[in-house]
Amino acid sequence: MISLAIIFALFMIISIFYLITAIRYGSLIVKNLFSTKVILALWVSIASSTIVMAISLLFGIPLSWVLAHKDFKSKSVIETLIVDVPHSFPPGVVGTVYLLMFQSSDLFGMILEALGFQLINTFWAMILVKTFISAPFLVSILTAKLRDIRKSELEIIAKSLGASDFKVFITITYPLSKKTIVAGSARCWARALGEIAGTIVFAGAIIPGITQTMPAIIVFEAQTSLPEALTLALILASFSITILVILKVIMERSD
Amino acid sequence: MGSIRLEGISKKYDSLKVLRKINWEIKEGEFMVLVGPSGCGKSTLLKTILGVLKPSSGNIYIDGKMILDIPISERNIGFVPQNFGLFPHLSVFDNISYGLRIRKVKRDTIKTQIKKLLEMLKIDNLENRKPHELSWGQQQRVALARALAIGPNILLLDEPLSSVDWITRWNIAHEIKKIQEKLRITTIYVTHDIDEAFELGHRITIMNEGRLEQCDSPENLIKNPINSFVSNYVYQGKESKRRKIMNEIN
Repeated sequence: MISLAIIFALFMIISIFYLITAIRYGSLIVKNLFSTKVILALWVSIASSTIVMAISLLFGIPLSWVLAHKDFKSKSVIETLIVDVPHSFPPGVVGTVYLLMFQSSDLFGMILEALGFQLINTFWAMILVKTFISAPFLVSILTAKLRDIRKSELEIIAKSLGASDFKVFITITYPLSKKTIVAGSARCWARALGEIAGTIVFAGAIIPGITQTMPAIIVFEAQTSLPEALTLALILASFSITILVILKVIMERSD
Repeated sequence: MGSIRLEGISKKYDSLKVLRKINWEIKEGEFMVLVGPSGCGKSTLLKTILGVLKPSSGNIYIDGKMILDIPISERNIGFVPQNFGLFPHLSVFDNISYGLRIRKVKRDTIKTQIKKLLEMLKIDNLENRKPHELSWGQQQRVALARALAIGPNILLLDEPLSSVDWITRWNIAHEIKKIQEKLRITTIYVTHDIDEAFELGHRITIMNEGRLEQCDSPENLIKNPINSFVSNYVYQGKESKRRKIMNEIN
């Protein structure tokens, strides 16, 4: 048991170490860090992931609350469909499904066309794919936490003391689930940042400043120049880790 | 204020009948103990009165007024659950004052009222501590103080001492009884311990498989048990007030 754990831990550490070895291409890192292409791609990646995280919070918190607090028929089937299935869906498949759904000959595509919108190969297409893939990372752990809070009967006690549903959420549910909300948001954000296959299929991922993300550039560069791809990966990982550390610090300070 | 009447209360989960046509009356200011084996429906009955669960049929009246349509937040019932249910992120003071703050009572009034409660329950040195810094006995007192702070018409205690040691349980149980007698709040105290029931209750209700078998004074339960279940249930257990009554009868 311990030896298997050690093998796996070594595998993870060596993988991370190889990313750090990109430091040997110091001048290339500096060059890339200040190239317009990389700055734009970083901006698109971080902006899109942050928007996805905001959308996931806006809809994910109420969804998790309903799944944890309300009992209704076929609840487990619905929960599997909207939380577990997206977890296991290959992102490329998600992109393909949206391509089909929003093509001009299909219902949603026709509605958008009638309203004068074009979704495929746009920034918002990328947001749609990333939200489908990333939101379940927040919803799954938040639902589990809210179920624990429900089981503890603290919300019932707060109600018996005169609190309305809204007051119970603000004074009891939210403070007790705050850490999980932050952790789930970080997971959602990181997943959205790394998403590539669905974005390439549905959003194209080739228009600089609009749909071209860092992971997309890394994938394309890896075909031609490994040092280039490695340095871009290091830049992306550094940004990602920094933002996650900032989130963690905020979370700890808020206690 | 605080008489309770239940008329034909039933609760079903699919085909499982948890409460079976319960008729029950608790007088104003009475200390009623509800006792019965685990899984007999005691907590379900308590939560139905509290308003967490809706009965499948029947009515509940408090002071003659039907309360089934009144939400839990407006029933003014103090509740202490089995695990005390202290809010872990709030201090002792904030836990106890929660209901008053929700009611937007003035800060000075809250301070005065909480001070009185802290003194009455002998926890006046703990107001700044968090629940995890308290012993089981202290947590129990804080939970009771929080339930009493809102000035409830009725107090529901769901096996509040089941997880504390025997000596602490005995001491706190008597303190609860004293406080109840002082404040005259109608109280339903749930336990599975027959000795605790005999020690505390003005009247005792024995419950089994979703039915109320007998509701009577401690003396009558021993003198005139209604059936073999009540007789067997009453005769189990340790040395207690029950034994004293038995000795006096004999």
